Amino acid sequence: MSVSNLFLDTNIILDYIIPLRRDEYACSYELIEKVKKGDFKAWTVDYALSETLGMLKEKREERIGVKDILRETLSTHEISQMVRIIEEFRKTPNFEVFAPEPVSQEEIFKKVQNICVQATDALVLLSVLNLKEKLGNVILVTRDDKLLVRGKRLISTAHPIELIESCPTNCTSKSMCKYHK
Amino acid sequence: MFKIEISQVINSILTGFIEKTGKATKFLENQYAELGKQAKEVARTLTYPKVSKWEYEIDTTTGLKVLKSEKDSEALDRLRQIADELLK
Repeated sequence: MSVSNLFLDTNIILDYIIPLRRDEYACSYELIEKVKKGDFKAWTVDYALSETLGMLKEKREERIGVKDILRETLSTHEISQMVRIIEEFRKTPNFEVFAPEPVSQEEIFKKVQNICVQATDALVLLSVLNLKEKLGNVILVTRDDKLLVRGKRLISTAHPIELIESCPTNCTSKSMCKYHK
Repeated sequence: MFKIEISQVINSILTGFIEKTGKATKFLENQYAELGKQAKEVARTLTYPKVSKWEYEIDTTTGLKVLKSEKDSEALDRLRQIADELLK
């Protein structure tokens, strides 16, 4: 049986890293554990790492209460630890980070025009299409409702729960999640 | 005679003051130099994890340009530990 190729959106990666989100979106956590075991092959693009780092810095700022201070407030040590988080994530077995083919602004503009997504999401879709060209079939895994539904016009999309047997028992958002099973 | 004695007294006071100030400055300089040495020593012993450069390689099966990384099944455990310290 061939292993499915998944493209992990940034929100899935963050669900695994941010401690509170590991229980809130436990399906993402379980999916990445499955990737580690070899049940799936996962991919993402290199610019998603920058997006992830930016989100981690924001979370850390929230945690220490300096989110609204305009000057740089995080220490070199804190930033270095966050970079290390990304480095460790990159070492996950069966997970690859690729550099997408350069895309023109016009292509992004057309995607935004045609499928009503934000420019960053259009860039993600173009990257998944790039991966699809090389691998044949890829599933974009995201929790973003719009991307799940509108992205389907171009590629296969799935909420993480669709790729695991059932909702993890520790999931704290199960009762509110429309994808629960 | 009286004038000379006054000037001698003033001179001796001034000399004493200058000597004491000099000693105090030297003392402080030594203290700062010592503190500086200690700070440098502490900084030298602090080790930050080295972050590897982004190096790409061509994946032979797909032809894609992928980021080089050494796979490690323990990596996610370390990641969670660091994230817990920073974000919990």
